[in-house]
Amino acid sequence: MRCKLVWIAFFIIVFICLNLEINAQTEEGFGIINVSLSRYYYIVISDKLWAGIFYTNETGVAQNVQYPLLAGSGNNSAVWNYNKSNGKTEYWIYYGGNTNSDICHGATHHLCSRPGCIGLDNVLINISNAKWSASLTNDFNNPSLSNTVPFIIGFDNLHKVYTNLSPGTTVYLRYWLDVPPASAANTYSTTYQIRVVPAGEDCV
Amino acid sequence: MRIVYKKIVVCISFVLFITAAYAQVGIGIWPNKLEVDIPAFKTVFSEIHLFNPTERSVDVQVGFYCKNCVAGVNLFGKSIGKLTYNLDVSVYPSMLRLEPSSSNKTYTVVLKACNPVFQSASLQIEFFGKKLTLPLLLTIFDKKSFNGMIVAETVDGSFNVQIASLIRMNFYGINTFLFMVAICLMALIIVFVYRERIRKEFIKYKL
Repeated sequence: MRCKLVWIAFFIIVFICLNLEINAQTEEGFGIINVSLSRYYYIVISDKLWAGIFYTNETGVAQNVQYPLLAGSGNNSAVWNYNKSNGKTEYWIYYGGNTNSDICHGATHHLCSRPGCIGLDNVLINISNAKWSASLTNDFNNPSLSNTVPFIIGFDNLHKVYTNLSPGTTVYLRYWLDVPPASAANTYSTTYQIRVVPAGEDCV
Repeated sequence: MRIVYKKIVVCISFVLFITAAYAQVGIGIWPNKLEVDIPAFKTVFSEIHLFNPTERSVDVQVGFYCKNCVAGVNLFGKSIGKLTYNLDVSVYPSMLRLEPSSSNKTYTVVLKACNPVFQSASLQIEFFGKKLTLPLLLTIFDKKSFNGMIVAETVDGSFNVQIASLIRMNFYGINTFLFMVAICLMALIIVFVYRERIRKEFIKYKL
């Protein structure tokens, strides 16, 4: 009998200890969310970027039309890298809000001949053959081919599109693709992606 | 005639402007950072708001991504596998359509986070070349913080636009000091009970 009473007392003590702790936390205001409600941001991308990045040959660049690429050809421009009327890129990202941010770029998968890169007959071109360049100025020389960064799967934390970007800024982009030699004639596709995060934070 | 011409030019410019604005796609979010305290055995709800800054409606998918829920497990300095916390965190709704900015609408996304104190986790280890997954229930002592992000991303289109709101969740568990006190009390009680039993047996044999 006495032994049972001791055990009951023990459980009561433990229960009280735990309960005290939980109640103490609640009384200190837990469950209240600390938010900075005034911090917001938004991103707008150009219609050409939203439509997708399609690569073309030199003739296609001059006409802003997509043409098939040759295996082994390098630095094939995206169709709207150079608008034929003014030589400016039509790929841009506008950043707005009231706080600074970082923007990362990447792709969901390699350039694949089959949707979702599934199937035994799927042929792929490594995504590192596609590259991008960013600039805050938009003219024939900027964004430039000399500052290109190869795409990676996911988001590139090491090479962000821009860091500590101020609101009201437009970032201009250009894209190029190297087609590896002996690539089979196919339509290759991937999904490019951008992510906006608060300034100084990792994208993944 | 001149007035009619002017009107036509104005109309065409307006249509061109609307078309251009309509073609762009965007997403906005607030707050961009969030810290949530989740007491033991409690469920906390917090809100994130999305908006569309453009004149084109866009479908978005919203999800929670944990940044530090996977940790390496070492035994005598050698990595034996990884531990993954399966947090009970969800986002509602996970899919929504953001109407154009002219509708002046903001969309609320609710984050639900539960703290059962005994956190579900899975330990993945490699044992003689075979991968084993062991389910675990880990107790949270004092406070454990998890970093993550709520990401809103476009689902249609050839280009994926994502905007993230960082979230830090502080899970509160059993107080280590009180737990130690409880263990000590238990030890004392066991000693006391054992001593009593010995004493009783001693008296019984003595009689």
